[in-house]
Amino acid sequence: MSSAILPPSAVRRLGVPTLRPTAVHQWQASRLSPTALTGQAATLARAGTGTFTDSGGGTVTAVHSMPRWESRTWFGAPAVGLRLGTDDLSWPLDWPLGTLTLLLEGVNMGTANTSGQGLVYAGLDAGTGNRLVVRGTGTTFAVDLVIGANTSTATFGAAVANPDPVQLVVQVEDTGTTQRVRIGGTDAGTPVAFSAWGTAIARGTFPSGSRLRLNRVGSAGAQGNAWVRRCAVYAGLLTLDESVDRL
Amino acid sequence: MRLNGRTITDLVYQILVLDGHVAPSLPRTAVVSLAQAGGTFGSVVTVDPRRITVGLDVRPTSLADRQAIMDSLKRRLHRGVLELVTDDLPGRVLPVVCDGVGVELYTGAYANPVVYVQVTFTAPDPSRVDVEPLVYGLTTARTACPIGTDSVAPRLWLYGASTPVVNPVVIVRDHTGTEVMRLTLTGSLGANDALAIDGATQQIDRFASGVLQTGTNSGLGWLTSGRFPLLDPTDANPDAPAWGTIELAATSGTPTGLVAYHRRW
Repeated sequence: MSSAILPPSAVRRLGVPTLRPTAVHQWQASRLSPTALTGQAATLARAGTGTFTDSGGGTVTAVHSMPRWESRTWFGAPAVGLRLGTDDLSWPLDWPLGTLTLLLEGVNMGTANTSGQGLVYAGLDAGTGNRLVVRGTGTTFAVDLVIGANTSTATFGAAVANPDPVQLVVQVEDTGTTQRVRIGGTDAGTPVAFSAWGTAIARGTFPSGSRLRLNRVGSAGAQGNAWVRRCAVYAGLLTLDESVDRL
Repeated sequence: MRLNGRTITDLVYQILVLDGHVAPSLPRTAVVSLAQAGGTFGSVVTVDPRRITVGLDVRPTSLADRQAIMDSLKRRLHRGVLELVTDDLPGRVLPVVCDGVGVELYTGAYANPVVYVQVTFTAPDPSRVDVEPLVYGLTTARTACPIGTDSVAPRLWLYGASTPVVNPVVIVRDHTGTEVMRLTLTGSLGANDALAIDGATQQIDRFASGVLQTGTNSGLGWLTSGRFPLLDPTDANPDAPAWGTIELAATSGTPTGLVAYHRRW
């Protein structure tokens, strides 16, 4: 009697097929869960109640930390997003700071019109260390990539009024020795070309314990006011058309 | 056509065939044969999975390019569940699994890189689902819930109040006002308390100041009687239109909440 060691099975998947986005982080409000499609468990916090508008135009008051799934018109059709004001939504950050594209879709409810208010933040809760920040400038949005004492900054090429629907595409280019950022997208449906690249600075990585956060810079920064329907991060440099709707 | 939000037109010259995604899927009721009598309907209702066939005209520039395209197609098709969106209904998705790819060489000539690729998908649930959900506030008054052509198990959030909401109840009525089901819960929801009820998974999560309660404090411990809410087309009259409704009740206090669901078609 002889025996043989057989090669491993060609099909090693176990269990039922599941949705497997190619993004490193993908959150869509239309899924009605703060948890990202890519698995990162969310923390959603808001002290006290918050109001929002439902699909019938009625006003709903949600209690402490409950999501405000607000219906708004998005490019001519009803859509549901998460209303953020005194709310704070964050996820563990488990993807590297390399060449990447960050997509954010939502309606500016005033964040762009207040200088320094955070829209998207990747970094430590303390607001220190290497970090990626999308913030209001007073008239529009800007992105900062902070590595040590150096900052690469780019500014969205259109004034953003309240309540403009905006699609922001932030690209981070990593050459292996340097990193830099730029930002483009649409404002109120009008394409906004990518800005010029920010200054190329010596590359860095996100500190351990970093989080991806919406609506404020760090856990203590000034909170913005926005309606967000999607936040996604993809490896590689994608255009708006390539990143919108892609899982 | 999009798969997980991505077109495949960068890989193929044109899509020649897209079949199987339009026909309505109807539930089938089991028939029980009776001896010396006419058969009768049984209690089991099923729906058949939907099978979709896509024919792709692929025109590579070389044999190496053909293999590169096949590799890219395989990467995109073999990712577990895919969300298929067709151009005629961009607002609805159909979760599918790719279960077959056939490649035909035009004229049978291996050296000719142009090929016809037939991809088959199976949608275990043949219903398409709206991309965007509907959300409606709930009170003690009846809230109409427009649905599609298939039943929907909604999610609900029940909110507490400074005057506690004691023993909340979710009541579903048809378009005539006749009660069709209710879910009765036992407990008291204070100012910062909430319940999240998932009708599909039949899960109840309880939150206190945003913190999920577990163990003996979990939401499922509040479940007392009744059925999880289901919005069914037979409870609606879409021609009117008049829809099934959801309302809240409680032993004391003023219950409020939110219902959210994706229509199914």
